[in-house]
Amino acid sequence: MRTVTVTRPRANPRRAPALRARSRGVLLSALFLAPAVVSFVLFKYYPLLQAVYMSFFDYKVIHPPGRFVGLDNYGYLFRSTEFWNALGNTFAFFLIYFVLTFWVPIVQAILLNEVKFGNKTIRVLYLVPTAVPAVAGFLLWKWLYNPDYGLLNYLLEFVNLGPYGWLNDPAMAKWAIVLPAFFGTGMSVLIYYSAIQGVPAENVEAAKIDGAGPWRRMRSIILPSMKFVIGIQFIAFISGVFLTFDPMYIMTGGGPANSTRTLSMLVFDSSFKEFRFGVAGAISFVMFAIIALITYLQIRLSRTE
Amino acid sequence: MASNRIRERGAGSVRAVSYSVALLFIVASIVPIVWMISSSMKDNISIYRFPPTWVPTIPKAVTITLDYDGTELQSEEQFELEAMKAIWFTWKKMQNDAIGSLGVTGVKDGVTIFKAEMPSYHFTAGRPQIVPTQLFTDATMRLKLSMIREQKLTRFDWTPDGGAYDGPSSPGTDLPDTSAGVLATVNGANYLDGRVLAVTERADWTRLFDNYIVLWQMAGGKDAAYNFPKFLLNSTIVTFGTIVSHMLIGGMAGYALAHLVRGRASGLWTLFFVATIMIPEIAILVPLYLTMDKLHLVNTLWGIVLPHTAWGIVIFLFKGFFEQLPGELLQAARIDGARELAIYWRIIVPMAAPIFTVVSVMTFISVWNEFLWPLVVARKPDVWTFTVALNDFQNRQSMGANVMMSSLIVATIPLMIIIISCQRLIEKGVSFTGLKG
Repeated sequence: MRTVTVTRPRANPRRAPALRARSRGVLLSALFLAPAVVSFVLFKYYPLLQAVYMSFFDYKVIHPPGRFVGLDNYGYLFRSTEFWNALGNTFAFFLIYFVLTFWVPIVQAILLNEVKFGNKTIRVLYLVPTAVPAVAGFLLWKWLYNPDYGLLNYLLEFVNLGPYGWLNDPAMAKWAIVLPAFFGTGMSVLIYYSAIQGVPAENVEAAKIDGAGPWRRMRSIILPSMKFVIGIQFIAFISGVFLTFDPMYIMTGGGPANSTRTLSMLVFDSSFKEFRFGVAGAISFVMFAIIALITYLQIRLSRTE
Repeated sequence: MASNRIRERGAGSVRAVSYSVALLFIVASIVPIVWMISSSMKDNISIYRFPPTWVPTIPKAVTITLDYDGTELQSEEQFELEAMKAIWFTWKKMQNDAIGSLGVTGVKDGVTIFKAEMPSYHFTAGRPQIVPTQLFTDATMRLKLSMIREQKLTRFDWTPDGGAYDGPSSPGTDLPDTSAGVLATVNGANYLDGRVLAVTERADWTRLFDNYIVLWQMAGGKDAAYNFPKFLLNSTIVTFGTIVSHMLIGGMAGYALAHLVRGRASGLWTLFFVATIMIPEIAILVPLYLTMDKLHLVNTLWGIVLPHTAWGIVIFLFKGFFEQLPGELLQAARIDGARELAIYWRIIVPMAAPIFTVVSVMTFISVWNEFLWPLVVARKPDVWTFTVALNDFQNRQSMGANVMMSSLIVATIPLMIIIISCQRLIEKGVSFTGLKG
């Protein structure tokens, strides 16, 4: 308030150079924004456009852009079994990630909300698996899965299961790749937990007075009020899963029998192993389109609800 | 009042389920980490033993005492050759047993004239060069002796005026397995001039950390692909470089969007930055690589850091924070004649410490973990980050699973420290990004 009274008397003499001040303001904003604009154009927008552009060429790195082939790269993709296999794998991974991981942190967070004693300790302990760098985690799990010396087969032997081939078994490899994520949900638990903290206490109290028990309150008050966060997380989940690359590349490299080769691995292989940059661009664009479409549908659906 | 004390129906079951679910997840996620630690302390033999054990066995330090009474040997050189043969050839014959370290003590005329010792990590490191085959002759060892000396693989102390030998004078009868094996090997060997006086063995728990020493030792080798400390350093440089760039570029842009750009332009520029969140990394991987190639930044740390300067979410967070700062304060500063850059540095940056720390922690976690981009742009070991190196390690025959596990633990420690100590900041950051983004 005080500053307002100070500035007012000065308003008059400042009117004359207002124009100069404004152009100075533009210059200043430009100065502040310039580094970010340069980096975003150079590292985001230009590559995105180039990816689309490349997909219409038989791209040659030495003599870019090479021969114009129109939609041939796309045609090649849609005719190749590799692409359809990778697309199928990607969707299969999507389902497995959904079954094994998506709901886990929601349940964990809702139950964590009921824990009063030791709440903070549990939150810290939930983060511990996240503290193992992702790549290190995948390598650790690969060691646990080792069919000859691994811990998992050893432990399962006690309950008369196995031995399993895990990552070497085409029927099992996808599940084995996703399983570590089942235990690494710490960050998402925090997101949901902080969302639950935002639920007004009156709502919970009112439900209590109406005679809703704790289980009923979870279902009827807490879960519905998390809907917005769950929706946002689901969008992030979709694109996250579609783009997942690290675990497949590190744990199986796409095998066995191409059962874990996803679209993102196909992009990597066709560009940096086969050097068919045009095809890689086409796959990238298809992925981008699929994600955009699913995200759009998701937003539309949640709006109509 | 009284009804308050009556426990609600279902409260007990909720609590029981809550605690047991939490416990289950925590135990299940800690078991692999415990296994990682246990594996990192196992020797080259027991790591590949099935069924595996939870607690690594404490390595055995075995010492052979050789008696040289009545032999022709005189010079230091001759005895050193003897010691090397005793250690290297014996160990080579017993390479499938878990030996922590092997020592030889030489006695002549009741005087201890030399002591030699080698820990297992030196044997593992030197084995391919020094004892590639089971050809145990004086000539081969004479050839290898210079190599052993050069790489300081085996310690040799020459003490011709040493004290009288007062250790045991017979091998004994009920030796433990490892020593018994050593005794049998040495007795059956024809490469030694000395006579076995005794074989002793003691547990040496300091040898449990040998795999970490191996990791360190490999760094000194000629092959740059094993330089693990260097990779950790690279990761650190990349991570902190990215954080600094976010402070500078992202912070300035966020400030400009919040206070300098007015009206619709602000919204449009915000969209320009934030919309890039939708661009998947893998979709622009190839063109980004080609761009870096054109800028001659492939195989440099700059090449890894620079694309990170364009994170939409960072600008979004900064803008959101700066908008909450009172405009009056800035107005007052402007009237004082402070220039905009000075305002930014003297007033905004100090006040923005909370958002800077949150963004730094989030950046640290994701950049430290990053794999795909460094894999693409860092094609030479000199600029590898540790994630790329770890992936490379798993394909190298010479990396045993035990050394591998020790490298994973070393890579985990910095992240573990950050995550445990900044837990509150992470919760803050997660609620920013998770709810808004």
